[in-house]
Amino acid sequence: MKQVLVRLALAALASASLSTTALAKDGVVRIGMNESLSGQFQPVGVPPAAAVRMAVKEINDAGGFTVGDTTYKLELVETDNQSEPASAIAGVTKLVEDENIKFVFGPTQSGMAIQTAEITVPADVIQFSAASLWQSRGLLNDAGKPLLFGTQNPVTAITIFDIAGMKELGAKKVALISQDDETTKSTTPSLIADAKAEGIEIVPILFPTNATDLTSYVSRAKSEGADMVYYFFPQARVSEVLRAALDLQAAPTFGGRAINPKAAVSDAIGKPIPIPFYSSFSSPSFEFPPNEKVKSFRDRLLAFEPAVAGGHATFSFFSYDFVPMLVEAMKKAGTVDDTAAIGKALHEITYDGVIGKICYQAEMRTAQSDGGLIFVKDGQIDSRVFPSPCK
Amino acid sequence: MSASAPSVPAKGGRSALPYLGVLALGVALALLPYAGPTNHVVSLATSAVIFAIAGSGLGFLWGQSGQLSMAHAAVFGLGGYAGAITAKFFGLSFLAAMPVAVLVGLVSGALVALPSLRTQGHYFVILTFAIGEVIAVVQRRIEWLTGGQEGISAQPGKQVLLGLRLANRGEYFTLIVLIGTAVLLVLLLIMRSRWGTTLRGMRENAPLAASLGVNVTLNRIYAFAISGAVAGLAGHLYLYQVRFIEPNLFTAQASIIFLMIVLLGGKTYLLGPAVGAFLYFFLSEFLGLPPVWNLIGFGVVLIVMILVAPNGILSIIQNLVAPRAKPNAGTEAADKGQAQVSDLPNKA
Amino acid sequence: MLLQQAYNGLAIGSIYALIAVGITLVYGLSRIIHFAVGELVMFGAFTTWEVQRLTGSYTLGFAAAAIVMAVVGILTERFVFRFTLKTPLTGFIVSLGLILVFQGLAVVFWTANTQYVLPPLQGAWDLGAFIVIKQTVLNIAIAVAVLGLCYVVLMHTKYGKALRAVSDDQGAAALMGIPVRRVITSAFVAGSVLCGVAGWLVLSAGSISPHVGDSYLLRGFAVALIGGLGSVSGAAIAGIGLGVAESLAAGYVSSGWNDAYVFGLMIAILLWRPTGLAKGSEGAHI
Repeated sequence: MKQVLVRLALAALASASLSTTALAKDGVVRIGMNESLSGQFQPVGVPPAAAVRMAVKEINDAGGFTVGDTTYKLELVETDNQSEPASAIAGVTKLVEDENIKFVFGPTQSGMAIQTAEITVPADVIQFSAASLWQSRGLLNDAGKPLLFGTQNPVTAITIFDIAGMKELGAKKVALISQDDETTKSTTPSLIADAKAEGIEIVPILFPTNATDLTSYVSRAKSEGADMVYYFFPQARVSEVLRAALDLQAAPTFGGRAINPKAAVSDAIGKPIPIPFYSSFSSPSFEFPPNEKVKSFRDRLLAFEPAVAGGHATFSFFSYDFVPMLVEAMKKAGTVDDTAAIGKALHEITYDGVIGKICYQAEMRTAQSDGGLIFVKDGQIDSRVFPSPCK
Repeated sequence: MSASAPSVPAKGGRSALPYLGVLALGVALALLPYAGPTNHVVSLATSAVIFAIAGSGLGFLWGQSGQLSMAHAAVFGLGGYAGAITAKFFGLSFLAAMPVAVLVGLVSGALVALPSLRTQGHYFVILTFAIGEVIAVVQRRIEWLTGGQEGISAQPGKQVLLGLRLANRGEYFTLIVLIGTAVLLVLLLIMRSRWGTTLRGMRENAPLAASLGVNVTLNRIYAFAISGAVAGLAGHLYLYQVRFIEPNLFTAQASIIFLMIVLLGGKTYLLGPAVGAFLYFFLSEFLGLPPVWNLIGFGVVLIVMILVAPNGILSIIQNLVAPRAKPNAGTEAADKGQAQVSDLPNKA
Repeated sequence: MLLQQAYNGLAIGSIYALIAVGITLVYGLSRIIHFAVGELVMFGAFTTWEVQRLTGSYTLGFAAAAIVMAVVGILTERFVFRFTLKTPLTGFIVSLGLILVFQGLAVVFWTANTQYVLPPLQGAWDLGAFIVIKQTVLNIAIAVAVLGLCYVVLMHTKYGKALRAVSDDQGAAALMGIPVRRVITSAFVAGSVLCGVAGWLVLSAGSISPHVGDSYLLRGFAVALIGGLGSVSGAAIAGIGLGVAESLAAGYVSSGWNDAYVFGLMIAILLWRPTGLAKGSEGAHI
């Protein structure tokens, strides 16, 4: 009896779907993703991966999208790169050359983003990544690679947020502590130069990637007599630097980039930081959302993938909005497979997303969007948005 | 030379059979792309072949001369940098840069051997570890030459070698399998030469070999140089596979991977590193576990394999196929007992 | 500045010394290069963190880490390393597999994210010439106590004598009625616990992640070797020496050559004294 009922139900379903296809055509657009879902870069791979998954689900749950006379759903094909180049290359090869997918998200890690671009570029695939080396090595203003799209604010823009923060806290001499690696190298020179033009001297103090004890580097910052200790990368070690800077009274203020403000407010010292603090962000703050839109996104993502919490959750901003933005570009271009036309459309539209108005410049293909600036003064948290320049 | 040295392939020492066997295997593998595998498989297999070549260098050093270097990945990286730097500054092609990469590997391999004149055993192993780290730091720091942390690229462009296009995934695979086969044939030739016997004699009992007039120091450096040359060549092939290299790819962690590959397959077997490399790259495909569990799974498989077959997977196959016959492809691991003796601590 | 950096070096060096003694104990008895020590440090740190988070007590966390690491020591010896005692090289490779397993399990239990921890002692004393972070005093005290205990046990107890006898010659030790197997198991337990304790100290610096062990691995071995394998006092001296050398490099060497400086020093010392400063036992032949 039960089986008969099930069969009847299935038959009804089948006829229902038949009748809808008679009215409008259904289609599927496949997008690929290659991220570090395991291995040493997992903390920066999991948040953007979760955000892409959620964006795809939300678009499909809302009934998909229509281009021409066809309603499309998205299908996400994922490959894990195990934080290894060989795996990343094989994974993207699978997406691009075996599955014939035309849109790839990730990898976020810079080296693998450059290596996999070697596969997507000749195949005319649109690839999105937050990789900082894409910018600093000139891939994003290379006319021969028109379909690579960066998803972080231009380095020059974040520098502006930073200088605003330093000025507000009255810093004249800043000791910059950061890991000696490609992320630091690709962003600090422009910060040092631009700050100098504004009358702020920045002294870089870099520690090697495998350094165990950062106290000695903070001691050195103190001996520089700076009026601000500024910390940049990697975020995993910010609480060590923060605590040492306070214990050693290294400087009267503390600044930094992309510092999880929770570290400053509670995690590192168990209480709000006693000296004036600021952090700049390439996006609005995840932990202390400056507006309802960001807050709603944060709550949805944490419910969708709890593992995002506590790590580099900010990286979810660098993939989430770009899925619907890609869909908008497809609608505008009137095609789901002509990537050149869709790439052109990406340049022309402004998408109103979680991280504000997003648009691409003509010369540098990296997204302009809202930036963030957080201040902590006397225990008071002030989370601000640096509005995007997009119209 | 001495009667105590293991007599390599007892009978048929001059037989051409092992050479033909390696050649046949190489040609068969080179034809893989024409059998219609997915591009994904070809890409993974390309990485596996490159690591197999580099691993063969380490396997030769370790299995034949008994010396273990943890700076192997650093030398491998230097080969890659040699190719990238000569391409960037002098416009050298893939083929023209190859001898440079081999030479750089040869010289740096020999240099790594120098501390072995003073230190031995575990001290030497850890020392090579430190040497590898120093090389990685140098790659990071000489930015004008290496690009530092931001790395360096190389492009195959429209280059063609032996009628095979470097930019084509399948044809590049065929090319490097042919190169790898040539490397194995050369290593086989060395292993079966009189000098190869001398080397193994040194491995079993260095003082005895020295008392018989063998220049242990010099021969050890030669072995390191050969191993380094192979690593340098593999590094060059790796460069054209990933097309972008940075110092972090060649640290101690990478040396550990080479080590695992060599031991998984069997360090005294010519084909051991190749078997280990394919297992390393394809195991997660077979396991098909969730991402994090794949790594755990590999760790468990490695532990179980090593416990079950300390002399490598090939030793199991060898025991299954021909328990008492002489080993295939010119290896001499039949003297399994001896391999174990060499592993025992020296109770000096 | 000089005093400050010297003190910073002392604080981190005491952690290196603990790890190095753990390595030396295991190596001395089994001749196994146990490369998963970095992961033992990481596991000890996470255990402390987890227990402290659940119970709010640092003491309980500390005790739990010691117990859990002892269990890990027994398990790894019973089910893995026992089969490799005749071929130490195999033990070395097996420890490489253990690295993957430990790191993977840590990610499964605690995610790959970094966890922040507050040390039990917070704040610092300003001594004028330099500033002493309170927690580091506790850390150094723990290190000194644990190392002192190790030294006394090894040199002045019956058990220590047995341990040294097994280390010198297993066959002779067995003939004299020493339970060789059990002594070796105990070395694995002691080595793992030492790493676990070091993990607790690492934790108090501020943050831990499943990959935190990587940076401690090579340093642990460097210290064990420079100090001379098998020597507790050598490891203590070399550990503090490396810590101070690193801190001074961080304070005064301005280019990014800091890491090369440390490894260069290690190479130079081993070339000068091929079996370490304290003339350790000859390494096994690999």
